[in-house]
Amino acid sequence: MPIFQITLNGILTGCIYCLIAVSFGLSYKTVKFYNLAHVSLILIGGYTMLLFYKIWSLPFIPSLIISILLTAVIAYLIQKYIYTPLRNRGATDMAMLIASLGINAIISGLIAIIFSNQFQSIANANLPTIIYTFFNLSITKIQLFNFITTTFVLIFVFSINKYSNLGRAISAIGDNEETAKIFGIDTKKIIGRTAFLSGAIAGLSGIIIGFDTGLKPTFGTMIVYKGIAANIIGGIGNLPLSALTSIILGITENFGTYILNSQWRDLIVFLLMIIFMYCRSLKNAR
Amino acid sequence: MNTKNKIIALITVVMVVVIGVNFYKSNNSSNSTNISEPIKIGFILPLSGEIASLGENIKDGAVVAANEINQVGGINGRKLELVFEDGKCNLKDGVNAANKLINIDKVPILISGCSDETLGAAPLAEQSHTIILTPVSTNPKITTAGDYIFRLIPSDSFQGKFAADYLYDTLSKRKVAILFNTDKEWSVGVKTVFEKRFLEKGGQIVANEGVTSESRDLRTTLEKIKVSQPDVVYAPTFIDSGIVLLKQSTEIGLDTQIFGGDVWDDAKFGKEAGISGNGARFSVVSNRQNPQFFIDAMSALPGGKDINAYAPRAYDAVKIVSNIFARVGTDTEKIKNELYKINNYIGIADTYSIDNNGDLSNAQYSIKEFQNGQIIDVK
Repeated sequence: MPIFQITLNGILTGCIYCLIAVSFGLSYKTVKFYNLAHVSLILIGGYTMLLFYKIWSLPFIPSLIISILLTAVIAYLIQKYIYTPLRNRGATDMAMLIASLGINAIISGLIAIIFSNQFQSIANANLPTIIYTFFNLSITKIQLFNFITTTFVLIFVFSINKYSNLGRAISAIGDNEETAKIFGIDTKKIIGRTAFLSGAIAGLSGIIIGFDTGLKPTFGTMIVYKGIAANIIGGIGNLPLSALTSIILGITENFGTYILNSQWRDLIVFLLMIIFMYCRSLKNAR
Repeated sequence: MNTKNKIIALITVVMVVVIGVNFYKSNNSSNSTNISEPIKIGFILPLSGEIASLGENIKDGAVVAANEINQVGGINGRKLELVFEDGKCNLKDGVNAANKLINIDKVPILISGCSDETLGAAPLAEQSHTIILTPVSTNPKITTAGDYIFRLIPSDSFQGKFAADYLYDTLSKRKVAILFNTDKEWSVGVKTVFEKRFLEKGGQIVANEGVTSESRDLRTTLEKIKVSQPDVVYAPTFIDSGIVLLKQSTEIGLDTQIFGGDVWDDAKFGKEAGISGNGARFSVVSNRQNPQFFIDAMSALPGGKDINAYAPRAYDAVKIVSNIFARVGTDTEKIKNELYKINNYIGIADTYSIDNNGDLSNAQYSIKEFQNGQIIDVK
């Protein structure tokens, strides 16, 4: 059994879950509901990159930056013009969840209309994929990019979370929005900034997925579910732990695929989630 | 009796009367069919989703035939009208589409696409005595799906066998790894037949992996296949899985021959797979060379570029059905008997003979190969 290669595959799968878990967790920390519009933010990131880089053939770095910024701005606008007014009118978490589902349906529908429903990859199919091999392990260029950017994003987010005023404000809002407001934190501004940051990370993950495996207007849901699963196992809002569980999920998933059968792939993740939730409820009951 | 009950009773009476009158009327009207009314043919095709490009191509093939018929005055003075519904290549939407076409449009005949769509529609069609004629679905289960179900494409009990024979005899492969889509009837059907035949011939199956057609990360699965050291990978997958399979097997350095099925006969597939598809082959039902008039007519339609294997068969299906309409009218019992009688009908794609199960009695396949994004014939 090629243990190291599978572990590597697992880590790389986990990196994508990790980006999604972190951006989802950031958003959850401030708005306190399952923002399923995240699925469409990933799509926006991927498809804008497809548009700039593949269709309009702009250089890589500018297209990357524009796509990420664009996704972040859209995330911010959704927060500002849809979620915040709804919250101000006293919408419950369930209502917010439904609203986010609606936004998701609209955006993925629009993307399907503009870019067609078909599966397409951002990478040029007529160029050979660049593969690096070391110690019998192979990794493609985009996977390496995936690994490096995920590491950077994690370091960036954790340091913001821990050392900056924004991070402290996010934690305060996460604890109790009302109290935070009383202590003079401009919650609206902080929530908007968090939406921007989490949108940027979601967009980045969409771009990586687009290069690595390809895009389709319907593809995001399962990946986001897995990111959410990682979040739940790691403790919602606990970013470092969710990042760690994402990697563990990725590795378990790949070993499960190898040892059992490919059909088990998606089951394993959710099975793990249920086991964790069950164990935790036992612990809490005691 | 209080007022509330009175109102309910009144409403019930009114409803019964209205429904009764309606029923009487509709019964009457069907007895005296209006001669100038168009004859409708219902279509359940994958017009959105993964294999939408395939569905659009098939649709245009049928449209070409209908245009030809309508230009010369239709069938005994009645125009032919094609009603298209999107079955999205799955069972559920296939059933919905069939319900709509049978109950609202009241079509005597359905022409269906994907195996899932056909299998979803089959029970409804049997019940309402509506004919299904499919130029696309190849799943072996359709053979026994019912008395009213016919097809103009050979069953995969032929294709699976053909692929096994080709890999074992022509390419002398002995160890095969299989990768298929667990959620597609077509994929499971052709894989099952292949498996049986390949084992019978004395071959060995070293890996047997099922993935959903939505899976995008097959690297570890392919790693497993690579470790099992097969001579050939048989992968009757759908389009997206197939593209991912070709790309990622190049990435992990799995340089074994890869062999797919007829769904891969799609120009988009070749384009997306690009150079990673080089050398990969697949079996597809043999058609005659498309006649020039058909190529010309197709290229004038939106989805008619790069004609696939099914579009000319859809053309033939519409032609066959129209011939039967002209002879016996729209009574499905009579149409059914006529369909069973088809013997050596010469269409543009093939020469069709239908057996007692409503299947084609003969099948011929050819091999195609991807080269730099293009699909080429292998002699």
